[in-house]
Amino acid sequence: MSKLLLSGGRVIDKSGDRLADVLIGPDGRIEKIGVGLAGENTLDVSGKIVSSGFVDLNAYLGEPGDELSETISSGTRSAVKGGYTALVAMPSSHTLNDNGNSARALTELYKRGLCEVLVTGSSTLQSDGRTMSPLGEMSSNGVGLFVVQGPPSTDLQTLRRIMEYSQNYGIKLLFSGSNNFLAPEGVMNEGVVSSKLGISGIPKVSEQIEVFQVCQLALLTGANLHFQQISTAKSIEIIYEAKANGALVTSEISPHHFSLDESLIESFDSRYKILPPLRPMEEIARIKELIAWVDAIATGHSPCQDHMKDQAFSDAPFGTIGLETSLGASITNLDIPIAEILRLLSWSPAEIAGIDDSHGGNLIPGRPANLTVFDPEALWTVRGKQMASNCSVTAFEGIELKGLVSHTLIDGELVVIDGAIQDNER
Amino acid sequence: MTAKHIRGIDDLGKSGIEDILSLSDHFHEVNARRIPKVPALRGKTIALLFYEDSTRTRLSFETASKRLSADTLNFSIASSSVKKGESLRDTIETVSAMGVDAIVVRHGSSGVPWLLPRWTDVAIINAGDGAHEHPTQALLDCYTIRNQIGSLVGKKISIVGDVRHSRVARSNVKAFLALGASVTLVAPKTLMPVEVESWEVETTDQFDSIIGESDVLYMLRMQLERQQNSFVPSLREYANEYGLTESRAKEMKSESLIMHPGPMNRGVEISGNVPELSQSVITDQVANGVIIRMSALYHLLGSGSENNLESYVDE
Repeated sequence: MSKLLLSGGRVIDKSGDRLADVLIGPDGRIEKIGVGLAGENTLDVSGKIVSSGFVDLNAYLGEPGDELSETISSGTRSAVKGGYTALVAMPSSHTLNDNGNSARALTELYKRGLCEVLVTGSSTLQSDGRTMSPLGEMSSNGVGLFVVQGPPSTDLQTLRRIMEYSQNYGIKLLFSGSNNFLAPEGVMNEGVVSSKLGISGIPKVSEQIEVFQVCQLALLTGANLHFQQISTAKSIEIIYEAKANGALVTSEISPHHFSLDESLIESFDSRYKILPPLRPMEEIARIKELIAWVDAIATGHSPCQDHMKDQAFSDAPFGTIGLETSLGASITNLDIPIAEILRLLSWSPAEIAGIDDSHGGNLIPGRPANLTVFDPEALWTVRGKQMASNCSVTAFEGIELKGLVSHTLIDGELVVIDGAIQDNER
Repeated sequence: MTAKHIRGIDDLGKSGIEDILSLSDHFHEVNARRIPKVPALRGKTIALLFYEDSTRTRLSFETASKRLSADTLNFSIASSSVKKGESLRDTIETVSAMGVDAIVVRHGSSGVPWLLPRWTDVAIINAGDGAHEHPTQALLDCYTIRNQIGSLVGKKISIVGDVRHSRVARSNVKAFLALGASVTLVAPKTLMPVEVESWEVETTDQFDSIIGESDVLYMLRMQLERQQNSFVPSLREYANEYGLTESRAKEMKSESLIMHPGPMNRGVEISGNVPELSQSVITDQVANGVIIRMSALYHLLGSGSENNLESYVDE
């Protein structure tokens, strides 16, 4: 590999924002950043932004077990096209990761990905919600992220013990809310629209009660815990207050929760059936005001076989894909500086995932060149059929977004060039 | 103006509702004949696609179709076929490929009639979707009220019971308001729709307070499983608070109407001889169901055809 020069771009990382060239050495690491550099291969990125690579804390890859929805290949192709250099793979219901062998096997399997893929473990055996998985053995086999749930699937006492015991191993717990204990049949936000449509709703307090309970346990136990997919302003406030009181908690929000509102469901199109549900406009406005208190944008990428969404609203599965629309949705819908968006897409989630030595962080000589190049002004219209994901059902279908990834570099290698995935040899 | 579909009351609007009500006067006369059958929709095929069990509504549509000389295709689709992998889209495309002119659909999930035009060009009639709409029920209720007490303008209609889970209530509220009536919903808070303030109605949890001033008491069917989910403590308590008993019926104005969409839970939302009182028009509702569905089908499929309405009504 010869030296690659990214020339003329605006470089943004955790340390700041400057116009500079980035020279990448044959070892795939950043060799130099500065003005007027020369390289053997030069890529003109003037007018574009060169950022530390994006890190997704919440993507479902299907494989192993659900390959018709997504595979490691299709999922990571979708990820790099969206600018991601690393992602956290959420467990498949078909494959349970609750022991040392499964941890080792999945860690090995996910190396086939086009970007870095982090394995998550189940914090209870067979996900039974009662018996703790061997967290120590699994963490020594490469798993540092474990999914936890609260009632009704896991009682609070078991949850407390997991939150205490996990600290032996520096584990990060990913809390996934059930959203359903107040509304087991709920399929959309409870409110004016659900009332009109006669659809069973999920009230916002359902999420907020869970967030409050777990924040209290985080304060009690000192656990290191990340809230996945929060969707209400009150949840953000509760988490902010817990942090202020010393809790080691962080949170993520998905682009659709600050971009799309519940009125879309008046079409009854199940592409808008998502958990937690899409909220009303006024909630989105409040969330945007509080976005500085959020720690990450995570896609909640949930592919399924397309035909599963050709069902009645209450029969279809929850979820939308999201890896290829997160940058555009964020630039289009968040009225904050681009560096703040990149905090949420790159270095902050890299820290939460514990991979900030190789992703996110400061772009300095010696670091692996995991980079995303994008045009913050490019306008494009979302078409699910053009996505690299196996699934083409996106809640952003037909919507015009601003901001498009042109190049993605993994360890110095260009895996996306001008929006085209370079994986012919794989 | 002819609607393309009758999925909800909004597909018709005030003029569409009135068109169907006036068509129904003609079909009322047809139904009174010795041979109650006309060739208005001869050659048309109507698919009856019922994902939910419903003997009454399906028979009503089937009878209406046959009295208009249309052919019917009956699909009773157990929910298991959904689990076998056939999507709603597959089913609709299959039915559509058989060459039908209209699909009458009932489904347990709100919104299904609105999804169907994605996959077929034929006319859609909603025979009940989830807790959302049941427009032909609302039409037959409007027709029944109009026949009994004339125009709905300024009339006070009270809908009593499980409004939250009721598609009948949602369609009726829209239709009654469109025709100029005012609507009061009567239910405990557990059975009232959430955010009911966004509906253009009055609400109360005190049934007794509105009986004497209502022109229509519309009693909703109480699903028996509601007590298991703590919507009400018991059916007995519900019947005490919200059931139309003989003593409550005595408080009604003499010219007021008692209505129920059927099937009734006697002893729960309605009790004693109340269904047999002179104010009760519950059996008229059933009879009018066939007439209204003839009108609805004719409204969608008959206009512009060679089978002009007048040419056969007088034959």
